[in-house]
Amino acid sequence: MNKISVAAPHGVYAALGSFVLMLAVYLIQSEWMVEWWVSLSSTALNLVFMFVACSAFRKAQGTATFGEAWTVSMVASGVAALVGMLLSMVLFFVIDPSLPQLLVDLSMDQSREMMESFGMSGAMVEMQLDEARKQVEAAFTPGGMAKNTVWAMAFWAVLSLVVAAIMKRAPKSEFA
Amino acid sequence: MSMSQHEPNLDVSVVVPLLDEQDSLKELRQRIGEAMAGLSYEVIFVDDGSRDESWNIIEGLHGATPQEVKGIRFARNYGKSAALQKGFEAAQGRVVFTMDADLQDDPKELPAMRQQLLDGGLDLVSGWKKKRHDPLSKTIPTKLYNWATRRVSGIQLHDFNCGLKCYRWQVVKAIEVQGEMHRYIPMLSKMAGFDRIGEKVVTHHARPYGTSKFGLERFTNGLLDLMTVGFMGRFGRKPMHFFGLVGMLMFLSSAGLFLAMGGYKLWALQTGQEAKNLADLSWFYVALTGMVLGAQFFLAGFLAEMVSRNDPKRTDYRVMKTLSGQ
Repeated sequence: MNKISVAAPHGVYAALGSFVLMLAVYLIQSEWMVEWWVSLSSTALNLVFMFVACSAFRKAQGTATFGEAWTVSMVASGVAALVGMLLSMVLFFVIDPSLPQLLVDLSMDQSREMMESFGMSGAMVEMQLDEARKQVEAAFTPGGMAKNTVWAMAFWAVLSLVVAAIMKRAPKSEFA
Repeated sequence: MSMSQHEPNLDVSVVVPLLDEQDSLKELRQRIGEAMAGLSYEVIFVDDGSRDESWNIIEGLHGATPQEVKGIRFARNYGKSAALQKGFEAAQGRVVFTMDADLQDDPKELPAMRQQLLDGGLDLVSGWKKKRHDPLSKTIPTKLYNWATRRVSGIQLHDFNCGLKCYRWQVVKAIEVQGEMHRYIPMLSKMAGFDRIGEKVVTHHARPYGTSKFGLERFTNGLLDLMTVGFMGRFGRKPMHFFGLVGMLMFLSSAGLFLAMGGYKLWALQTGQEAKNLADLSWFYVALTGMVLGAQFFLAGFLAEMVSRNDPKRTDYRVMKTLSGQ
């Protein structure tokens, strides 16, 4: 059973689903794109497709070792991250090139509020924000997005361990 | 109707639902007897919870001619439909009449109506009180109601609510009259496959005794019942065809509106115009509501299908004839 041929389409579906969600949020209210629930929904969607990919593999083969389940889950999430990055680039650099700047500003506003709520002084906040702004702006360049995708894949690799542990299925013993 | 149902042994059954009509019962029974001369018949009085002496009178009439007068007494007032249903179940005549007990219907009409039913090969003959002796407050709503029922049912009767009707026995055994559906018996008959429906002008007398039970709530209830019968007739066995279609149209048109607004925003961005967030447009909320309602209609359709599939009579189709090798 080819693990990649089972996992890759699910990764594409997850990426498309996340993109549709992001595009809908963008169209309805761009400011919502930095809200926590948007990221959470996208993560949940990826996770669902990782499980579905493992399930499809297990159904086709009848069994799935931990290693096989991890590979399927990882390929699905990796494809989702890569395709998702490409689709995000279309949104940020083709559809609305002014969007990255808006998101940077919104992120900075959120960070400022958080720092002030922690009781940081004004000067300290500004200093921290200058540093943070450079990092956030870098994250919205093609190179920054690629770098983030690599970090995301590391995150998905860890999460795939959990998925694989849940979805593995040992072959039935004939004496069972 | 069950295939095994036997042909009745009497010529005529007259079903008379009544409520507090003590003054007219004896006279009614006598006039029916005169009209039925030469025929085997039964009069079934269904007392719908009378508080006067009606039941005692019915008992007396039954005692005098037990083969011709029968009685059913409800423990409380259930309504005219329930009374008719019980009367239909008990009827043993090949031709079944329904008539009110208030003497506004003339029993002299019965033989002619029966003849019209048999000679015309009809399933149902409905009385038409062309000239009414009712106040305007009753006749105007009635005209409106008859017009609406004609439109919904496609049955060209002038007077759906006339209590005087004549049926082939197969019709009354096939239909179920419940709630306040007695107004729509021609529609129920048509839905059951008995669509040869005729009409006969009948004399309408002024009420000699008692008081009318007509009230404004009967008009509103009648309208609601009309909608129910119309809906059940068309979609009773396939509710998803209604709810699904409405839900799908609503959802798709709303989704289309949403996509159009989204497309407009993208177009505005490309052409350098002001691209508002959709949440700032009132149409967005129209589309959102439409999509939610569309989904709700769909769910209602699924629920209705589940309810409908659990109906043990869902596959009760009325078979007219069967040819088999045995």
